[in-house]
Amino acid sequence: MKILKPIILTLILVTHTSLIILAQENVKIKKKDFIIEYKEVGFKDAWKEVKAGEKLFSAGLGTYPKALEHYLRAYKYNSECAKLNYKIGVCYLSTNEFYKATDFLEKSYLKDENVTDDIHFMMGRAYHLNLNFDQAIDNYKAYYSSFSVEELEHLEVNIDKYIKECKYGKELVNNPVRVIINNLGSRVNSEYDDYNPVLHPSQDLLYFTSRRETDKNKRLDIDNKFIENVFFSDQAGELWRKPKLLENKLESKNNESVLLFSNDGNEIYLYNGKKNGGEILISELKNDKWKSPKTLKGKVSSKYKETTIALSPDETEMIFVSNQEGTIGGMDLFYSKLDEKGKWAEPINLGAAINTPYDEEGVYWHPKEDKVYFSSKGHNSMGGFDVFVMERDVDKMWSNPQNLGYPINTPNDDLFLKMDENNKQAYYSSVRQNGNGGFDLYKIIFLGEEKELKVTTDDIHLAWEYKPVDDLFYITPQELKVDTALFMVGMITDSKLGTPIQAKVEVIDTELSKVVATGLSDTLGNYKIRIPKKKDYGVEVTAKNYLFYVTIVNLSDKQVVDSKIQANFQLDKIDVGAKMVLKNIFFETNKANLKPESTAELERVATLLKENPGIRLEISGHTDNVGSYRANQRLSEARAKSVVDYLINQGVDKSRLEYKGYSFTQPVADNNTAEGRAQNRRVEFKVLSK
Amino acid sequence: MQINLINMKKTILLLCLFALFVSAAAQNEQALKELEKKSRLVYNEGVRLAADGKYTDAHTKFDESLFIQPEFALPYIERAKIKILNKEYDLAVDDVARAIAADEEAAEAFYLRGYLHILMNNYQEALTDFTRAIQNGLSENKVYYFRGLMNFKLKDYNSALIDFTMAIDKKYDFAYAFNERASTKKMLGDYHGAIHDYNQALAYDSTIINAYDNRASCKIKTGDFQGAIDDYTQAIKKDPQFYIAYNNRGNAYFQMAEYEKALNDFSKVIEIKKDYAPGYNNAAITKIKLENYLGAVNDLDKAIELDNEYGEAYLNRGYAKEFLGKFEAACSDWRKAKELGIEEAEKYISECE
Repeated sequence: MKILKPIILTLILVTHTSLIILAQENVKIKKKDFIIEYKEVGFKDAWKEVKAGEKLFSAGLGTYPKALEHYLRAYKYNSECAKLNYKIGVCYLSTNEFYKATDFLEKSYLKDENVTDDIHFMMGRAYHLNLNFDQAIDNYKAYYSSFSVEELEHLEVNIDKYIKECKYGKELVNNPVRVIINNLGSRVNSEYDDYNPVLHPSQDLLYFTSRRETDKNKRLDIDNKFIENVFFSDQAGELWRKPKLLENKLESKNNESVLLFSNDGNEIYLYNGKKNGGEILISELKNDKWKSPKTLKGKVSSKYKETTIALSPDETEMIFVSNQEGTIGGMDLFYSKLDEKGKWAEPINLGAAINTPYDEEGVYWHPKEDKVYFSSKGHNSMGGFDVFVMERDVDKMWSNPQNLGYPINTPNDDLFLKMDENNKQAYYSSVRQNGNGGFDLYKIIFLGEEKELKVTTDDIHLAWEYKPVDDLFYITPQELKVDTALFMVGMITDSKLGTPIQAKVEVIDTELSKVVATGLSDTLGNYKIRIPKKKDYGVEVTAKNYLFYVTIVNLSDKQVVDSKIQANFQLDKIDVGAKMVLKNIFFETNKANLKPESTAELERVATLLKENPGIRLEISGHTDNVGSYRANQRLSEARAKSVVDYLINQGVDKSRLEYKGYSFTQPVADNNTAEGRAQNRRVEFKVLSK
Repeated sequence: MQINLINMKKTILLLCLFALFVSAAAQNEQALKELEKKSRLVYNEGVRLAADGKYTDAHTKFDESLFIQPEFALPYIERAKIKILNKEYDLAVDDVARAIAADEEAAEAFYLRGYLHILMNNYQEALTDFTRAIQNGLSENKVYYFRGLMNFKLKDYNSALIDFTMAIDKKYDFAYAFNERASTKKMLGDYHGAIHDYNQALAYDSTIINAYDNRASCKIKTGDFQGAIDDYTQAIKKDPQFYIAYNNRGNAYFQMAEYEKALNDFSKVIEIKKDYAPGYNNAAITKIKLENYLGAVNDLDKAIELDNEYGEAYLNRGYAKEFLGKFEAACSDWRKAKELGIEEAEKYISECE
């Protein structure tokens, strides 16, 4: 099996950082692999796209995005080609849309398990970058197991390292730190790599390094990307303005980067990629112009590469990144101090607790605290460079580096973090999903501890408040008990003599045909009867040796004085010849049949006869003058007889009764009026003897 | 002898005068009794008219009754009730005062004065009057109900519980009393008891829609989020303008991390009641969850504009501003929240130092 070259072979020489770690096998797409036999239409154009893509792919990482565009057009013709899917997947891995790589690589593997020797490695990388660590580990292991023992001895790709990164990644992703990471936006970031943000001490100028295309720069052969240049942007409110190329003496063709400003802003530290294989220089500001950069005084510079530098807050100490003698592996952190003569003393490697066999890069000293940030591929990196922090205690001992955690760090490269003095926000560069292309500049906002959001809930607890009922308060009043006693009072006297009579008075509710009150008059003839209410009643007055008296008393018309209503009655004595009209006897029209409502009156006559056994009565019938005398005579007599028959039936001896019809011969009222005629139609009795 | 005769005449004269006086007094007493009786009869006529809902005619009768006997408390009381129904509260206050002047033991007059105090938000005074009414013998379910309301308002939930229970004992189907007792139990942390009482309230009067809302909040306390959502939905169905139910359902969704649904509900709250500051606050925190920090700040600005004493809104706005990297502004908001009594703010301010 072919041994792959490690990723570092391309990029580390171009920039002062290893930007993307990627290995790939440049398998060629052959026409026979791509053409669809039954589908000639479109092949020609599609094949042109494949060839264009292949050319750009071969040119190097810098043109992978362009290659991808061609491959995707070819894909429309044949989406089932294993090698094309592989190439598309690999290209996506180099972009900020690396999350799209897995589908194409999986499909490539599905179509041809042997599409390339490194298909499992690429799938591992794809899953790794997309935080799918378990599947990444499976693929890394599958890749590893594809080698013989002999081959493994020569394998330069450290699969164990990737697997460890996945394991660290799982842990870090499960314990995310509370930050917001905002892309500085397409106004600042380009589709090319933009990295190493450096804030001017005034805080309103942002310098950074970019490999974007300019009028002058060219692509480097090594990775086919444009050469580095320094850009700067000034702040407009909360946003950064469109960056400008720093066109002065600082700008050269030597991969220069701005590394650091002195606290007063009058000195600038630069990286020069050409000098001594990469060296840190310093330039002074004089009369608003930067002087030519010079080598640092002292023993920092070497024949090896020095890339980034950090100064302590008092600017007497320095930590820089170099692969000079004494390195533990690759780029390491070295420490130096200004001596009495103002020169940097002999650097010392910060040791194996800080430096690893892998690269360290992008060092930065906190502006106020004894705290240093840097990136490392070692320690518990979850992939590529991760940002770490270490603190120095009072004994000047550095702590073990702490990974800043996910989502600041990702399986891609995360570098050049510059924390503000309040530890609230930082700028750094990272390759993240949906960035503008390659490295972008980001601002990290540190949120501090988890805070509780306050929802305001509201309840209308009381029904009385939700739906007020206006009359809920209302208590229904009760009537008061009032003594409403009403009395009917008066005197009962003899109708001729005016003498008082002891009599019985019965008050009858004519609607109910019921006696509702009874009373007796005293020896002075006075009576007093409690009546239920003030209304019209029937009154029956009876007394021994007197004819009964029945009448309707209109109490409602009478005046109430001291709860009393006055009603006097006069009774006729039972004497021979005394007459009485029986007002409450009723017959069927033109007939002699008694109506039931006559009963009470007839009973009173019967009672009179029983209580006065010596008397004899003549019952007489009378009519009005409507009709002939004879007819009226027959009717009046028949009606008188009906009364007599009733009384006999009630036990009155018939010898005590006579009856007679008088037709209309004895009127008591005017027959010319209806009222008069009504009065003339009557039954009377007359006392014949006693 | 002559002197004796003169004395006798004087005595007789005095006796006659006394007799005349006694007779006049008796007549006077009789006349007063007659007036009282007449006044009561007219009052009763008023009561009958009121029972038929003929309040204007009843009012006239109570006027007549008082014309006959001005020191008669009951017509003042009944007239005051009619005035309350007519929302003539000032006039009602006068009548109640006259009733109490006529009879300082008039229980119902104290009850009415208590009720008028409620309408004027004088809860402590209302409580005192209802207690006086009960002490003077008024034992209507309503007096206990209203005293319960006052105890609730004054946060004496144990006393409120007793009063609402008394009201229910006297009227087994008193839906409002069940609802209020449920809310009292809720305040006392007896969520299951509260749910039971809300059930009763709704069984007797399904138009008490806040009972659905309150029952839902108890269900949330017992972990029954779906039951709560159902209750809120029921409340909204019965009263589509009941923004409180939308707000609280939004909260339930928020707690269930269903932020899109929560935001829909909070947006509805704002749509229905544009001046309801909590609607903006809640929409804002949901937007924070949805990572729309600028939108959140805008909403919280509005909430604070509507209620500049809204401590939670300041706290949340600080939170949103922190997400935007505006730490100074965030700290300023947290300081304000602390000033307004939000305890959590103090902890956050420590990050500002």
